[in-house]
Amino acid sequence: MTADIDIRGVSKAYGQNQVVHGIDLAVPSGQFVALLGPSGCGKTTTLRMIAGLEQPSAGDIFIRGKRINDIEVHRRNIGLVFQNHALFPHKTAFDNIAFGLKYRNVAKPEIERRVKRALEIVRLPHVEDRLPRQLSGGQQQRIAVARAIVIEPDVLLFDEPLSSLDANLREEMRGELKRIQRTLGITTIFVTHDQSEALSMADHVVLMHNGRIEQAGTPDELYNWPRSEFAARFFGDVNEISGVVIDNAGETAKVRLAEGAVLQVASQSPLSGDVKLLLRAERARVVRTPIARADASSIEGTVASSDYFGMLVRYTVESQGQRIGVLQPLEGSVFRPGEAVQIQIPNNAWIRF
Amino acid sequence: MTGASQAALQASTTGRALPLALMAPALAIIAFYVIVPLVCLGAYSFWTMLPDGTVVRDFTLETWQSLVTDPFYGSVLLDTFRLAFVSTVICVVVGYGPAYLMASAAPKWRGVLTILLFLPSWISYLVRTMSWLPVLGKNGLVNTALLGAGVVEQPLPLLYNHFTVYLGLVHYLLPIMILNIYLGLATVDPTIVAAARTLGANARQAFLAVTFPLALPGLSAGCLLCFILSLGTFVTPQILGGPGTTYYGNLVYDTILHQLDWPTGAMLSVVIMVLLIALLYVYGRFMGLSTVLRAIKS
Amino acid sequence: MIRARLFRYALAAWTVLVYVFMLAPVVVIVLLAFNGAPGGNFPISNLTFDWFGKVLTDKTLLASLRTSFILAAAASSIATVVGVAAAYALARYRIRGQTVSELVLTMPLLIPHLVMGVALLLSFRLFGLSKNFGLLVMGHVVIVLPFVVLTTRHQLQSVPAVLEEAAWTLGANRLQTMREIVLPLALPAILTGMLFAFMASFDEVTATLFWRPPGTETVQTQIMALLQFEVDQRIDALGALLVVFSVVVPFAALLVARLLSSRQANKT
Repeated sequence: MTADIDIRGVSKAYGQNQVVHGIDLAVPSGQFVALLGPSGCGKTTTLRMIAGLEQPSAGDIFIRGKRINDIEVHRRNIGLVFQNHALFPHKTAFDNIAFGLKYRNVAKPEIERRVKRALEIVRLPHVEDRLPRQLSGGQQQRIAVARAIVIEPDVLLFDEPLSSLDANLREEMRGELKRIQRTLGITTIFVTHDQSEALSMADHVVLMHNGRIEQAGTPDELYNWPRSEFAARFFGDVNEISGVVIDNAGETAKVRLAEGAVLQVASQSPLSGDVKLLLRAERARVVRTPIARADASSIEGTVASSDYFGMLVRYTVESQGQRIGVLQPLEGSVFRPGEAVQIQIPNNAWIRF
Repeated sequence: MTGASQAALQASTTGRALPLALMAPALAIIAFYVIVPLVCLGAYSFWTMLPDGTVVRDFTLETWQSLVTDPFYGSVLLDTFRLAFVSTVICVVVGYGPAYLMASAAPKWRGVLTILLFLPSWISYLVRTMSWLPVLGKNGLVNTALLGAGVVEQPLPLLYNHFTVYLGLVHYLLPIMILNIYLGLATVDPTIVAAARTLGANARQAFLAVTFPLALPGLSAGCLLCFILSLGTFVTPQILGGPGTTYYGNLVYDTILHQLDWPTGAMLSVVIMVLLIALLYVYGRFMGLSTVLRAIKS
Repeated sequence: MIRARLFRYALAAWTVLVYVFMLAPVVVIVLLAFNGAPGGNFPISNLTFDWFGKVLTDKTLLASLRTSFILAAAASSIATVVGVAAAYALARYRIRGQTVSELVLTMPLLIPHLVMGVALLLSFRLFGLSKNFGLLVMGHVVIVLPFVVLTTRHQLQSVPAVLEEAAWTLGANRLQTMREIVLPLALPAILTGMLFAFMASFDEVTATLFWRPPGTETVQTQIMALLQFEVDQRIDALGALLVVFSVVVPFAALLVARLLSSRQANKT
C-alpha cells in the first residue's frame, strides 16, 4: 500500500542551525496524524516543507507516489490551515473560500456549488457575504478550513490552528475538525504542541524532539508505553523518584528510597544500583489506610496541598524528602494539608529507562 | 511565525535574485543622483577656479584654507548655529505644552488637534514663510493695529532682520517639533504613570519622574530634525531676512549662483554635510541609530 | 483638584495660542488675496476676486503652475514605482545589508535640499550635461523617494506574509498573489505615499532653484522671483490658491479613502 504522504530522510538546516535531522514518515491514506512536540522541535518546519513553503536541505517528499521536492507551492495540491486563519481581510467569506477554485479553472456555477457545500461541512451556511472581521474567532477558523478543503486537496495540513482560540472554543473545534476529517477522509497532518489535543484527535501520533522523531505510534502506545524519558514526561503529570536497588530477584525489584521506604517495582529487565523512576500522577492513590496488596507498595507521607478540580483532586504529598503529585477521582472528602496519608502505587506503574 | 515565513520567502524557488532586482532601481537612482554628486562635491572643493571663472581640476587647498582665514565664513557659520540652537530651544519650550495636551486629550479631540497640526505642514513652506510679510510689514497687520490703537507713532521695522528670520523659522519648525514630542509622549504607557501616582507621586512628580524621561526619544528626535532643518535653511532668511542677515543657506546660494564660485560653494556644502554627519553620529551614539530612522519616519 | 483644572485650562489656552500662531499668517494671506485696496496690505477694503482673475489669466503664472504639476506628477510616479518595489523587498525579505539599504534609501531626508541642489548641479557640469527637465525630474525623484519607501514599507509589513503563503497554497503564483492580495491591501499606503511624494515635489523650492533649466519656472521659484520686487498682489492670490490646494487635496484624499473602505465593507 503506497502511503499518501511519504517523507524519506528529510532534513532542514538554516546555515549552521540544523532544525530537522533526517526524518522518515509514511502516512497512509485517510489517516489523521498529529505532529507533536515542544516549540522548536521542527514540527512546523516539517509541515512547511510538505506544503512547499520551505525547501528540504536533504531528503525526498512524496505525495501519492510522486516526488514533490521541486514542485512549487502553488502547484502542489495541498490544503493548509494556518495558525491565525490567514483569511484575506478584503474578501468576503465566499471569495476567500472560492479563491483556490479560481486558479483551478473551475466554472462559476461549480464554484458556487462547491463553496456552499464546504460551508455546510463546516456548519456555517449563512455567512458567505461577511468579511473576516465580521466573524468570530471560531467562525474565522472554520472558514479557513472550508477554504482549504474546497479545493479537494490530496493532503490537508494544519499548523497549530487552535492555539489562538480560547479554551472552550478549542474543545469544540477539536471535535469539529475531527468530524470534518472523518467525513471527507482526507489524509491529514496536524501540528500541535498540546498533548491532549494530539491524543484526543489523532489516529497516529508522531512525537518530535530536537528535529528528530522521538517516538511514533497510536495515542495509547505513546501514553502508556513511552520509549524514552522525554516521551514519558511529555504526556501528563510525571513524578521522578530516585532510589537504590536492594533486591532484584525475579520480576519484582525492591528499591529503597531516600528516607528508607521500600518500593516494589515490576520490571522486565533486571535493575541494579541507583535508579531513577518515573510515575504518572494518576497511577498512584492517596489513601488514609492502605490495603495490603501484593501488586502494590505504599509509602507514608503528609499532604502538602490539594487542588480541587470538581470530579478530580490533585494532591501534593511530602514523602521521602520530596514532593509527589497524585491525581485521583474524588471519593468522599478531600484530604487536608497536614494530614498523614499513604500513597499506594501499583508495582507496574513505574516507568524506567 | 513571521521569522519562519520570511525565511521561507528567502529560501523559496526564486532565490536571491528577486529581492535584489526589486531594490536595484531605487538604489541605483540614489547612487547616481545622491552619492555620486556628493562625491563630486568633495572633489570640486579641492579644484581651482581660474580668474576667468572656469574651473580646472588642479588640486588646491586654498579654498579650504579660506574657510579658516576668512572670518566671514566662520561668523556666518556661527550665526547659523546660533539660529538653529535658539530656534530649536524656542520650539521645545513653546511646543511641549500643546504636544502634551494632544497626548492626554480624549481621542475625539486628538483627531481634530492632529489635523490642525498637520494643516500648516501641508501648506507650502514658501507660502507659509511669505505669509509673514503682510503681517509684519510697514503696512502690515501688526503695524496697522498698533498705529490704529495709538501705541506707536511710526510703523515698527519688524521685517528683514534677524528677529524675522528667527520668527519665520520657528513658525516653520513648530509643527514638526510638536509632532515629534507628541509621538514620544504617545508611547508612554499610561498604566505606568498610574502606578507612579498610586505609589504616592503627585502629578508634577509623576511627570518629571516617569513621563518626561520615557518621552525623551520623541523630544530628542524633534530637536535633531529641527536642528538639521535650521542649519540648511535658505528660503526663510532669503525672504524674511535683509541685507544684514546672511545665514549659511544664503551664503551657499550666493556663492554658487551669483558669484559662480563653485569650488568655494562646494567646500561650504561639504562643511555643512560633515557637521551634519557628526551631529547624527553623536545623536546615534546617545540615542541609538534606530531612533533616527524612527524620527524620520514620522 | 482645582489646581489640576486650572493647569488644564491654562494648557488649553496656550495650545490655542500656539495653533493660532501657526495658522494665522496663512489666514492673513488668504484674506489679503481678496483685498481690492491698492498697496496690497492692510487695511482690507473692497473685497474682490480681481487678483485671482489676474493670476488665472497670466500666461507665465499658468505656465509655472503647469510645470509644477507635471514635475510633481512625473517625480511622484517614478518614485512610487521604484519605491514600492524596494519597500516590498525590504518588508518581506531578510537580506544581508538590509539596514544599510534602508539607511541609503532614506538618506535624502537628512540631506539639506541646499546641499542636494549644489551637489547635483556640480555633477551635471562635471559630466558635461546641461540642465534639462529630465534631470530636474530625477532630482525631485530622489528627494521624494524616502517618503514613498517609508510610508509603503510600514504598511507592507502589516500585510502579513502569511496571507501570501495562504494564497500560494491555494494555487496562486507570485504574480497573481501580488495582484490579488498584496496590492489591494497595500493600496492605501501606496496612494498615500504617492500623495506625499507629489506634495513634497510641489513644495520643493531650494533645490529646484539650482536645477531648473533657464526659462523653466515652477510655482515656487516663480513666487521667489516675484518676491524680489516690492508688492505684487498676485502673489497673495497665488498663495491663497496654493493654500486651498494643499488643504483640499489631503482632505479629499481622506474622504475618498473613507468612501472606498466603507464601500468595500458593503460589497457583496
